[in-house]
Formats: sequence, structure tokens, C-alpha cells
Amino acid sequence: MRLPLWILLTCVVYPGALHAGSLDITGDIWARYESNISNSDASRDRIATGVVGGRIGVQTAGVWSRDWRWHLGLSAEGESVVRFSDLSRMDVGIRAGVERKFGLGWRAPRLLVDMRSIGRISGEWDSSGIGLSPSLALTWQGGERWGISVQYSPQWFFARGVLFDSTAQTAGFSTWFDLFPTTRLQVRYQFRTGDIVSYATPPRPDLVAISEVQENTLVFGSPRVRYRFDADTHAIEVGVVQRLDDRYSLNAAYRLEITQGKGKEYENHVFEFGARVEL
Amino acid sequence: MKITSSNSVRVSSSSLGAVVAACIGWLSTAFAMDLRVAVKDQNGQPVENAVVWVAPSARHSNPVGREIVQKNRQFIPEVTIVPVNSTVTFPNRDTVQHHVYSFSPAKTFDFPLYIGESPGTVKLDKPGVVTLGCNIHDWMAAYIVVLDTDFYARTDAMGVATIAGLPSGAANVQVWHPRLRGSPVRVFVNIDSATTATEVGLRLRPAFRRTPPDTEGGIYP
Repeated sequence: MRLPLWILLTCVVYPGALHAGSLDITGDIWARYESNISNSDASRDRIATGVVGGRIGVQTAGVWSRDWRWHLGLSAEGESVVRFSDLSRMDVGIRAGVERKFGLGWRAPRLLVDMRSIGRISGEWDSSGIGLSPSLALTWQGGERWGISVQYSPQWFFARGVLFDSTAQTAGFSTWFDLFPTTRLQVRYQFRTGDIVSYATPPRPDLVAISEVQENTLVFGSPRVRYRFDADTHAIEVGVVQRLDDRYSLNAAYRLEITQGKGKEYENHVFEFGARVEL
Repeated sequence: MKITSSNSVRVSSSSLGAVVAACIGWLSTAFAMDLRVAVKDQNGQPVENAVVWVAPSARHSNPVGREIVQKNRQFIPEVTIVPVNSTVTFPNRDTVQHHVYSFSPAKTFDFPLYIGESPGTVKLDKPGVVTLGCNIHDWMAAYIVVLDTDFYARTDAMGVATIAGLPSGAANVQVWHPRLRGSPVRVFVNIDSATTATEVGLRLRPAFRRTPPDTEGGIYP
């Protein structure tokens, strides 16, 4: 469903874009399994669980000139963590950005400059807050069936509780290949460096020594201490998107996350299945 | 032709030539034959929108004017066939802007960002395939096949094209499709009956959407 309401949004951005926009609505639902949602390096502390989520996004976009485009979007996203409702969250976000295309045609490289901001309400009030994340992405479609993209994004999260304040930077590489006209294979690598929160059963003098902030919690039912410290995460993801028709698609992905920091290391195996509708 | 006072008919040499030419023209029309070509893909399925033509043609090709419309973020029709020196316009019937371009050697042009009537007319003065795209909507594609013959047709949903008015004898039949791997397929057919039928097989590649994942880019209208 493409509604004429885009005028309201595009007028705010640039009157000259009045002939350029429309409103795109996307809805996503997903279910995810995480093998180590507690970010624990000790096997006794690792907790696996499931997450179900949904997202609805509304986006408008337009064209300024042959090479410049803009977009503006709003989204609402929620995730419910099975058994541990304190980790559940609801985000309301805004996204705005411009895209520069270098040349004419579908193979021309493009640079996307994006700014995203979210307001988060969590099951645990202290982890609610506001997030800010500009990003750069350079994308090149090398052929009808494949393309590559590199991304960089600093991320800030300002939480009510100081333990959940976070600063991080991510850089990534992704590629896609259409196996069939309706089946796309995606492979992504992402490196993240910044704050993480790890949950462990005390005593853990080693974590005390490296963490900047720590506090007691019952978020997993039994007494634990959570620690915030700097770490690097390497994540590689392999996913498949199966388009059912012009509106509906299914997706599945596996992601391996390896986090290392100050002598600590842990893994998280993530399996995700989702569906998308584009109206 | 001249009528004399003696009521006899005297025919000059130039008039005789005209009469002979007219007779040949009439005869060729009277005995013109049809060629029915069924086009199938590698799976034996009928191929729609394949272009079938007989070349070269002694018959003079008459330029035509055609429209390729942009509607619902698609080009309509996807395949257009025109003789050399024909003209094409590109009206945009969408409520969003389009930017039509072609990099093809047969014709290079672009019409930046417009809505409504075509910003210009493109004259197609060289034979070949002109591949059209939209600079805003990467998945939009259409094809103009420019031919130096008047003997052409496009296959229907049943994969059949009929070319009418062919002279008898050997015909060099060529077949092209947007998803054909490589050059047009050639077959030689002996046109020897009122309706000659033949079948041509094409090896087609799949149709891909050529769009980047939208998680990495905006969705542009």
C-alpha cells in the first residue's frame, strides 16, 4: 500500500522533492535462538534462550538530482526474551539519510550516509535510554546477481543506568549472491569494538579487575554480577532470503559471534528465522 | 499508358515497366507466404516476448513512432520492435520520477528525472538492441529491438510469432530474447507453402531482480 501521505514527510525535508516520494511500509517478524545471551566466558554461566520480535517501519524517500537521493523513516520494534522478560525491549526509531550515486545506471557505486536514533524502553528500567548511530555504507552491484558493500558505524547508547551506557564502533563487509531469481544468499562479516555487558556468578576477581562498572542483578533468576568492559567482537553471518512474491519473503540466518577482550573470550551462536511483508 | 485517336492502345517503354512492376507486386502479394515460428526455452516451455525476424529484407522498412510508458515502476511494453529510423517517446505515467537511460551502442541517451510527457523523442538510426533502464529504480528494464527489415514479429503468450507476406525461398530467420545467452539464434527456413511452420529453441538465463538488500540502502520511489 503506497499512500499519498508521503507529502507530509517530504515537505519537511525538501519542497523540491514533492514529486519524488511515496510511503513504503515494511513489517518484520522473527524468532531467534542465542546460545549465550548472558555474554559469559564461563560455561556454567552461559544461558541459551529464544527471542521473538517484530518491527514495523514506514519510510519515504526521494530524488534530488541524478546523483543525490534522500530518505526518512520511522520504526517501532519490539523483542521479547523467553524466560527473562527484563531483557525484553521496545524501540521507537527515526532514520534519515542521503545517498550519493557515482554515475548512471544500476551498476553505479553508491555511498549511503545515514543517521539513526532510537528511544528504548526495556523490561529493566535502567537499561532504557536513547541510542544514536550514524553510518556510512559503500555499495556496488557488480552484476545482476551479486554485489558487495562495506559499512562503518559508530554507536552511542545513553542509558538510565550507567552500566548500560555504551560506546562502540562497527565496521563490516557484506556480499550477496542470487542463487535463483527468488533466492538470495547473503554473507556478512562485522567487527565491533566497544562496551559489552557480561553476566557472571561471583566471585570473579578477573572480571572485577577489567570492568569499568559492575552491579548485582537477578535478571536471570539467581544472583549474578554484571560487568561492563571493552571487548572486540567478530561476527560472521550466512543467511538466505527466499522471496515468495512481490510482497512477502522469508529469511533464515546463522551467525557466529566471537568476543575477545582483556584475556576473556566467549562465543555466541545465533540462529534466526523471519518473515517480511512490504506494503 | 496512352490512348490514341485510332482507339488502339500504344504502350510506351516506361509505362510497360510500370505495368510489369505492378504485376510483380501484385503477384508477390498474391503469393506471399506466412512463417509461423514457435519459440521454446531449454525446458520446452513457450517463450513470450521473443523477437523473430527475417533478414536481410529487400522490402523497404517504414519507420514508425512508438511509446514506451513507465507505469507502476515498470516499462510497458518490455520489448518493442521498430524498423530503423523509427522514433520512440517515453511518457512517465507514474506519480514518481523516472530517469530513463540507455548505454547501448545502438543508441545512447538519458532523460533525467521527469514526470508526465516524454522530455524528448529518440530516433533509432542504427540496428541493434537498445537496453533501457531507470536510474532511480534499478530493477526496471526494457528493450527496443531496431531492425533493418519489415519482416518481424514478437511471440505471444503461447510462444508463437507469425510473420506475414514473405516471398518463397530460403529465409534467414533470427530470434532474440532479453534473457538469451549470447547472440541471436539463426535458423534457415525454406518458405515453400502458404504457412510454413518451424520451431526454435532458446537457452535462456533466469531473470534476476538486480537490487541490493534494502538493509543497506534506502528504498527509492
